[in-house]
Amino acid sequence: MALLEVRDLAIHFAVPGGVVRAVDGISFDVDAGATLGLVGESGCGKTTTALGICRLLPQNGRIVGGEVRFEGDDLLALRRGAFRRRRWLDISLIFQGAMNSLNPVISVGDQVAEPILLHEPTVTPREAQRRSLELFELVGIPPTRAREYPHQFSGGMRQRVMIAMALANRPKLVIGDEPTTALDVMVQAQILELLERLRRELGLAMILITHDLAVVAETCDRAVVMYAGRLAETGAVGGLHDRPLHPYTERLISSVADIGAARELGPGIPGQPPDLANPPAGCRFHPRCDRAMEICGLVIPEERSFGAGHRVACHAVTNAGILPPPSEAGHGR
Amino acid sequence: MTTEPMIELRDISVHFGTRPTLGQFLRSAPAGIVRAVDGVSLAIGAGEVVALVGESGSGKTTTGRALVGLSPITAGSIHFRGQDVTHLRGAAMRRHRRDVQIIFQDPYESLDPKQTIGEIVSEPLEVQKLGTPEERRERVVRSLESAGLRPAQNFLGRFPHELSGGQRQRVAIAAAMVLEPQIVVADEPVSMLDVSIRAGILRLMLDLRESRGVGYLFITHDLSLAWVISDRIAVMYLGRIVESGPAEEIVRHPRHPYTAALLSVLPSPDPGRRRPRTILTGETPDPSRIPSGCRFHPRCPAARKYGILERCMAAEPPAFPTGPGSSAACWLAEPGSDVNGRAEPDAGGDDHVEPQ
Repeated sequence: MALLEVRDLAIHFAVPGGVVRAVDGISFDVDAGATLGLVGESGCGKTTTALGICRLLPQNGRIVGGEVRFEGDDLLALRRGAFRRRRWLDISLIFQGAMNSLNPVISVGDQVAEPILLHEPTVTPREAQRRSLELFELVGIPPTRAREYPHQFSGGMRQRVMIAMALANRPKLVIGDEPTTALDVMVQAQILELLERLRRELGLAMILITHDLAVVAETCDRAVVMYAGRLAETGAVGGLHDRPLHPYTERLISSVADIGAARELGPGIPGQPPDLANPPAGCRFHPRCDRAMEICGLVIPEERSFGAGHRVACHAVTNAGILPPPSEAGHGR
Repeated sequence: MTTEPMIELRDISVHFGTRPTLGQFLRSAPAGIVRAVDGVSLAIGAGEVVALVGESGSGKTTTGRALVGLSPITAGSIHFRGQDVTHLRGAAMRRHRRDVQIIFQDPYESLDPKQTIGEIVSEPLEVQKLGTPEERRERVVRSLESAGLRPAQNFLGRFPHELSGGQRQRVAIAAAMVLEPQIVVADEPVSMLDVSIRAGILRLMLDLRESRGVGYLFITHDLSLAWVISDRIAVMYLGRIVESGPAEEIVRHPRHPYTAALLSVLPSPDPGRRRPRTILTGETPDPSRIPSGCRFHPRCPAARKYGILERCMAAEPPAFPTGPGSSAACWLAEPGSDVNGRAEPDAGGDDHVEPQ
């Protein structure tokens, strides 16, 4: 049994004059100790998926279908209070903007101790303080800085505080929502290395949400590529890079500049992602897809399995002619 | 690259005074000086793409703004086609602005939300008092269409909020190109855009280089992208160019330890290419407190490794030539030095990477 099982999760947002189908039936697993990348462009539903798993959707968002099982328990079936007691103990989140997520008038030490006091009622304030200092050490902040306030910290250090908070209750799964996007290259490398070390030392499972395929390739075992609220393709990161099957995955990978590959601009993808209040019929990618056939505009492609854990939702992939022969499995472009 | 540069920065500095802190005020102590750009020389030829690469606080944006006259320089000079344009004022400055334009990072903020696309693109022509209203309209249409917004009639009356991010950046490009400039500074023009639409914007910029001979200063934090689109790369750290040269040379054979470290931490989309990384500790220092000697020495892995830390702390290295058209400001690149050419060969130019 996987640690986290997401099945057919669907999330809608009520907007003036309609419904935005932000997540439209997505399924994936995260094994204990594994790292999954949830990757896609803005508006593809990756953050909404994470917020749905944690039941932290904004007021106008609603889970309209599917299941989220954590160690076998359906989290969506739990009453609000019961779920709240488990959130942060089992699953925690590292948010994108560390500056907006930290309270400017509470010392960082107290902020890291807060989830401990909140979720573990038997812990004394003194014990919580001690644990918060340990966490500071763990994430590479001198414990002497625990009395300081967020504004005294650089962007990278604030993100470390956020990570310490996310680890406060020793969760089994941490979801990082673009945890390094706002950071400089070198600081990003520091934070990714820290997350990697924490995963090894603490046996954490992780979901890394990012638009950056290279970050996924560096840090994750597996990835789910999302497009317009649906799964396009999922598999091991090596396989996705070397043999992408979905045209969207392939184009996305070839759009990333890579000093190990050809020195040329990728083809990019024409057009732009659809408005999810009014998505195109059939495959949501078909208006931008150079392999689109008649059926693509009519029927939503079902996910099909292509070997261990490799699933693709594309009509074109069943046509044997589209599949690259195994001898060409170099860079898949 | 042509022999005569189109535009040239000669040893420019941009220093800002900071407001005194309360402590400084009470002690009547002087306020700090932020040395955002601290002695930068850079040349761009006609039709050449020069990438200025650095992290935040490196001074790359301030350098770009100085090049177009938006950041007053405190030392050095700017030369356009051999003429000193450092102190141009009034009408002469306005004339110069036709030749040197800038595109900003954020197409959501750089376009006035209350103006139509037609007004935004024709504004530079009006400021420059160029042409009759009909001629202006014609030039606006041409500029929009060459920026890929076709047919232009469909865009003239629309407002920025009606367009996607990629389309807005095309509007910004059309507005910058309507004056037919010789040099365009592009400050992270695609970093706010989704990966799938970046290529289209970049290809547009490179096409205009081909068709009109526009030279670009392309400011970016992304060394891989710089390598793909530029002829030459200049790497900035804390207000100075630490290394510059042909793009391929910089990426394959970095001579400055900072460049080598930056290259080593570039995430690769190919998981088969995970490799050893040189992760520098700490973050770029505050440009109001620049370290003595080589400003990179407190974070430099090579200074300790090769036992030259004392020299690095004592004196700032000049830009030593390292090859045709390339230089590195590092004591390791000093000709004749016993440590010449030792800038972390294992960290950077990964010609032969062992898959893990």
